Amino acid sequence: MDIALDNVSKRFGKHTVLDKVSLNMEGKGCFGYLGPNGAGKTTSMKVLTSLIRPDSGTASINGFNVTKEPTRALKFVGSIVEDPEPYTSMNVREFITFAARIRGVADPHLDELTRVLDLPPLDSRCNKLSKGQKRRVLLGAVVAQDPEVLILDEPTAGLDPKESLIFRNMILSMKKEKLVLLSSHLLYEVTQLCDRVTFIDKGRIIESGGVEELARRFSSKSIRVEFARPLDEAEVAALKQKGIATGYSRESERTYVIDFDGTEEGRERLVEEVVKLHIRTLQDAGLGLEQAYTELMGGKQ
Amino acid sequence: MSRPPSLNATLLRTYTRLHFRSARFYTLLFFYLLLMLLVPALVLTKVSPNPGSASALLAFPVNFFVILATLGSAVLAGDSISQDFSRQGLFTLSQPIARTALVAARFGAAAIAGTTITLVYFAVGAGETYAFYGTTVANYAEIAAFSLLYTLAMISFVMLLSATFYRSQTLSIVISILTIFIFMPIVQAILASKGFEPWPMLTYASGVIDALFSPPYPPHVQSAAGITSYFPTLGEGAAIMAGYVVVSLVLCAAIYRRRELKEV
Repeated sequence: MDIALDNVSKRFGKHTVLDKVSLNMEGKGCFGYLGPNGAGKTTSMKVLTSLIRPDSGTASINGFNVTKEPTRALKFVGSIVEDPEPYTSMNVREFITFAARIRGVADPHLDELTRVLDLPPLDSRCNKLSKGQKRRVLLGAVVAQDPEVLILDEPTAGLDPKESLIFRNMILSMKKEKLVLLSSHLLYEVTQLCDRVTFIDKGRIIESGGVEELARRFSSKSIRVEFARPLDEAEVAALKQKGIATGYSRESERTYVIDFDGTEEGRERLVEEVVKLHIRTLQDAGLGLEQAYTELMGGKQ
Repeated sequence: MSRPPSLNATLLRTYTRLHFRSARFYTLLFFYLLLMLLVPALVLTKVSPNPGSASALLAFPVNFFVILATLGSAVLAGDSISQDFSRQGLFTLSQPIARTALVAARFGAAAIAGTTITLVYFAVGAGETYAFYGTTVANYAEIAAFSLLYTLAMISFVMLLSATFYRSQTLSIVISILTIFIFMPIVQAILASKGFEPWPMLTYASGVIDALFSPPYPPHVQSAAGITSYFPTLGEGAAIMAGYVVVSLVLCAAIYRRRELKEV
């Protein structure tokens, strides 16, 4: 199982949407694709699903060039890119069965899909469904096709918490056996689901790596401490005077965010000292991947 | 476990089913039947006198058929390609299906729907004439066959326009109607005035249907007052219509293959 973009460029008029993008994902697992709106995430996914052609470079799935051999390459792929719609005059059963049959799957296991994805009644016309229901029907169609590779473009955007949870659980389950490429704006979702992540901005790949590795690399240089008692600010100021803290800010009479030099040793020394002041809770003030995103994208959301 | 049907069969069956459950199919069928049943209804309700012969009874619906089939084909196939450039296309076009297979299935489904309506139209017409006069018009089977071929030619031509003007279903329908009713007759008249046989025009070939209905069949070439005019032979009419089917579908597939789904 592999997905590859090799020096892919794409322009829409004068606007360069993808600028020599190269990506390589192999094996099973979930790969996050992060970037602000207009960064090139959806365009990359459209290239990978043959909805658009690259101006230069190649996109391939399992070694098959998506542009030159689309039917071979797409046999491995199930996708929800942008905001597709099931055929409106079909009912749920017909649409999922159709999706399965065009991949040669005789039995789409509708009962199981209904249970796992909480599908709407199978006789419901697709044009009568809510956005979340349509999205679940599309996911059901993708799952019924049993592809090796899933390409999901912000699949939980606009869904309610219950529907989002269904999607996340399904992705967690599928990534054990399949390669999932997931774009999302929700960093906690990416942190929860993805093993590796790639950041893209202005059509260029900015950074790639394991989620934990990136989170560690861009981890916060601050800790948030809730003390067991109201603390005199002078006690925190003393940490700075000793060179253990590089700064601090007071959030409440018990809670302070205290900065350190960013090294592991510096963090350990700071923790040792604050523990002596009797603490209730202690945590990194930053959120790892969020910190990485913020630094790489220059604060864009 | 049973094997699923082939991809092409699945596509054809699915798209045909979508036609047969669409409101537009039944609306078209209603209007076709309304036109075919109008004269007998007027006769039976004594609003109009009995026309007196099978050919007089069918004159209006047969003479009107080319207009009806043009409008009907535009409605049946006007969005056959352009709908793949809507949000539904985000699903369809990301499937491992060759676009030529999609064109073939879309054409096949529209052709089955168009054929059904046309055959019902002519079957009802035959029923009327037998009910009133115990016979039908001469050449009726040939008239129906050419009408069917014209319908298929129009459907494929409209699909070509749908692939060309893919961003708007309405635009492709309007352009196909303008092309048949305005552009083609003008070009046909210009070619004829210059002494050329206007064989590239589908409207030229459609003259076969009226000519079969109103014998005697005109000669292929006529000269009067120094002007040469042409009328298609049966073979030529059939060849032009069949040519429209083949050429339109080939061009449609070629254009469709190049299309990208940049925005929906």
